[in-house]
Amino acid sequence: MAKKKSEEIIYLDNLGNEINIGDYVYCFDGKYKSTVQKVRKFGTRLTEFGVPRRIVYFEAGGVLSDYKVVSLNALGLYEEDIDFDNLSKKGRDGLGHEIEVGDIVLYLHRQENFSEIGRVTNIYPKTVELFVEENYYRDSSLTKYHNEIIDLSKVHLGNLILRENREMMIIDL
Amino acid sequence: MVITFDNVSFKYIEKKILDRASFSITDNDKVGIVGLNGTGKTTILKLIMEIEKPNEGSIIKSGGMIINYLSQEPSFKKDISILDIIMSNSSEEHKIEEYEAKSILNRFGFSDYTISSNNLSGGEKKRLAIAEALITYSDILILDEPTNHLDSTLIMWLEKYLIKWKRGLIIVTHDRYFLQRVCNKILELDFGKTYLYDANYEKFLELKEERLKLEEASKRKLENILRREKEWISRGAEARSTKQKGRIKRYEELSKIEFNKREEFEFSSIDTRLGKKLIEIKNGSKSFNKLLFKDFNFILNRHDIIGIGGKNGSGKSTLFKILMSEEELDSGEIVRGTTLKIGYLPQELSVMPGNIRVIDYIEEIGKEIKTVDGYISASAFLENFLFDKDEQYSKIEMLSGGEKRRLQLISVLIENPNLLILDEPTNDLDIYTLELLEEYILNFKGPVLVVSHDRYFLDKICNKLLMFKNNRIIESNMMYSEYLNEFGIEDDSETKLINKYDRKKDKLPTSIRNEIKRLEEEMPNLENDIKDIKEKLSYETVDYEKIMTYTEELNNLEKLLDDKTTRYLELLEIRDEYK
Repeated sequence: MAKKKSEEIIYLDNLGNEINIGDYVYCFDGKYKSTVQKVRKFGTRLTEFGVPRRIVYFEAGGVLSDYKVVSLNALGLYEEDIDFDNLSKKGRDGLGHEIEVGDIVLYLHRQENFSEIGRVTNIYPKTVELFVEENYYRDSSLTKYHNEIIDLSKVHLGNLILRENREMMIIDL
Repeated sequence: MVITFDNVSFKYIEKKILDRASFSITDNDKVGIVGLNGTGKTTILKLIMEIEKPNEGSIIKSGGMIINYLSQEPSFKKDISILDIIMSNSSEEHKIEEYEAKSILNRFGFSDYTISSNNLSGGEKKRLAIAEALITYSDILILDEPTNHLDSTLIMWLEKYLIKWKRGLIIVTHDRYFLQRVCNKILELDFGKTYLYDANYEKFLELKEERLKLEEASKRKLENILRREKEWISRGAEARSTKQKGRIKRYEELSKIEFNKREEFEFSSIDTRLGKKLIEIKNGSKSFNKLLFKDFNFILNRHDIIGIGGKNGSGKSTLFKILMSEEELDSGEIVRGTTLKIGYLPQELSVMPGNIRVIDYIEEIGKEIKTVDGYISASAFLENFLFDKDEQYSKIEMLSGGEKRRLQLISVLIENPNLLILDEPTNDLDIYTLELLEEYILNFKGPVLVVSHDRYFLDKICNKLLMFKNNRIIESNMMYSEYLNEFGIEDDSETKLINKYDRKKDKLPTSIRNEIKRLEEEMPNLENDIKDIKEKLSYETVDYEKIMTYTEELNNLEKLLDDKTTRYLELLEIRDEYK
């Protein structure tokens, strides 16, 4: 949930971190799903129920609701942490890093609401199988396409913990 | 870290299992042990684990070396949950996190981590033991027949896991693909001698052939020398001079050298009489608690060697029972030929009387087997399957697990069947017996149906596959490993995911899907148009009317883009609900 701070709307990503213009974000949906985009500007529209819908505009031209992205900068990741040469390649995660069994990864749950953390237990040609601590949906394992995950172990964020406070979705590092 | 066998000899009752074995294994080696059943593969593992003690020689291990051993028949503490079993291996130095334990249990098909070890079946115990062995820290991991009781998906997973294994590994397995892909060294046991090859399985076969050729050449050379010396002695050599004494002594020593008796067997074709009509199934369907298969049409031909695949519990055994008239189809028709005589090898080792001699047990079933070249006696047939005369007269209780399995196979074949149905025949059989079985099946004049998870075995013998998949039986002419690479096994999570996505797409109305796609194309164009007008505006400073027109156009475009953006986001949210 966005908070008002001196009449200013804060744009929060799926982890509850603030997004800023110029941030690199990883997209969970839309035309740029599973890609890294740069934030150009923000915007707000009211939904039919009068609730503001907070929108992130990308340099490449697309848009998404703020909660459908993860700000890489907020995680302490910058351009040099993205392997642009290997993006969208087999066996590589959404940031272009090689996925290995045992890696801790971040992904969006299939209900498209919350980010979760799992551990890679198997790698198939196109997908990875993740072991998931029991979550809201009582899954114990999930399968995701390679570029649908961010390999946290590869960017030294293997100890990232998501609190269960879904309202704020604050992260501990 | 190193394990060294220094002139180790080991006898089991009177049988010499190891004869002055000397070799070293380090924690960088992945060693596959091969040899006939009963030649002491498991004994080597037990000697390393100090479960058995050598009669001579010594086994030296680096200090502080942690060795983990997965036996063929694992046992666990009673009344303890499977999660606790795994977690009990956690130590200060080598901690196991709970999620790691759950992950590996999950991987091995356990979803209820609280289940007690008392309630596990034999197969489950084996799977749990492998999970435990893999997750527990060790410098050298020892696995005895790990692929028995695993389905193809798990075997492939285990294979990949062990390829990436960074520490030492010693493995006994009959799965030749496994040996080929996982191991970088092969330790061969042959007539009590050990030979360590710095090679994978394929290279090992080449090197072994060279070794046997050399051995054969030495044997011929020795025979020639002995023949000449014998002639010399028989001419009446007088052992008076030192030189002559020495020559006679050398002859005596040379005559003592024993070469391993290596015999090659060729199978005569088994003579069978088969009518034209074998088995035909029309529109067959069968349920057993759940639907196993439906709309199954099948004709068994005389020359079919059919490999049957599918997940455990998919209905393979039920199909066998239907073919053997032990079960009937729920619907559809089955026609069985009247001349069929089925030889069935079940998956489990049958109970055999321990105090009966091997030859008596087999002769009770059949005294001879009919081949196109005439009759072969039970004794000769046993010899073909590597039971030498001594072993034929030993009691069944003296046989190893693998030897009993081999005997069980012979007991099926000696009945002169004309249709063979083999359920996991490769379990517990050594590679040499497997090669014999392969040869036997390829020479068999009737059809063969076989369930196995041994990819090498199925690739080699089968000319057809019947794969249980999504409640159907699919016929394929592919090789088994080719089929697995192409389609996987039923319920493979990857296939499930893709199917799931396909289903979801179907649920989302096409109109919404098309609108999202259209908007994704329109919005960047609108943004470009806005950019162009803004650029024009920045250059236009004099013509007021133009400025007004551009401004109005800009406002309209921005409004349009806003509307489209809002609509786009709404549509994405609608799409979420379908997910």
